[in-house]
Amino acid sequence: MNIESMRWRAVYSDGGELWQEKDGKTAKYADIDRSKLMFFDLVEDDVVKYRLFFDDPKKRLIFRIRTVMRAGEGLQRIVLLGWQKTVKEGNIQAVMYIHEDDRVLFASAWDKLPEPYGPPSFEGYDFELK
Amino acid sequence: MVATVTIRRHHGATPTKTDITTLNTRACTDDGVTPTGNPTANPIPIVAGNTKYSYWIVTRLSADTTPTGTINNLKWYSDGTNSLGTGVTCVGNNASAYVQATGTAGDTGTVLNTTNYANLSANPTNVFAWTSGSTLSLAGSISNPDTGDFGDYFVYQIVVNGDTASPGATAQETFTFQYDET
Repeated sequence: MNIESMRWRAVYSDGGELWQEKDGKTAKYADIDRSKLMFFDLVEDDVVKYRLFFDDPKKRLIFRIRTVMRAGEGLQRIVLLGWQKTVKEGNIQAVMYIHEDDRVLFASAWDKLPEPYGPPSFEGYDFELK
Repeated sequence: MVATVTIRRHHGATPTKTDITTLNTRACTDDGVTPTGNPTANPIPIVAGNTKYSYWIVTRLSADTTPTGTINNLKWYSDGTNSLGTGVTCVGNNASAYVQATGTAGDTGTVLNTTNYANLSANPTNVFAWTSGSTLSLAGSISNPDTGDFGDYFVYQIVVNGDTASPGATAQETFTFQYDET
């Protein structure tokens, strides 16, 4: 997946859609109406490469583009795509770490994996926690 | 669109900010020397019985284009192995503001500590202790429509033991900045 050209699309339960970029308009991640989110897609060249299904209203979307910059060596990008849910035992997360060559690592955010597979921060993302 | 972000080395009084994202940058005993490529002026001398320091090096992320949403979760880490050679170490820490490096050009830089660099979060420590499994978190974020410098600075300094170090260029080290965006 080419992360530079990839775009996300939110598909709602009422049939509506919100595209990150379409027809000259740009939407922000915070603009997604999570109350009626049914699918969250990553689209490249009009092809849905990855799709998350929100069948449970308690599942909350996680999406980030992680950039690793090594001075003198350029950069590497990974997409974090998954969901979190608050259950009796606490907050659980399931996140795919998608590389540009489409290798995917699927992990819980609490696996304590070394970077670049650490958990996202929710600072400034209060809307993801509701 | 993904934001265009670079690593900038800050030096000089103003300061000047040089993009080092894809370039080598060199530590020496001068704040005005070209910070990229392989300049040979003002190396850190090796003097028996003395410890000499590079001028401290100040780095920070900068967004040339704004993110669609927000950039946050900034981290800094090394590869965990000091490959600079016997008698050569690197210490550093994060800082909330820029302080121009000082010292005696061609001899030694001023020691990096919270007295000489008041905005340093704490006295510097061995940078190789920060690894992919134990990162240094940097405060700060940037959100649409802003561009420019953001987040904490990472400041480091090369330390040369005059009794054990050997002359010549050291092996190269690679340091990592990491961030998330939406």
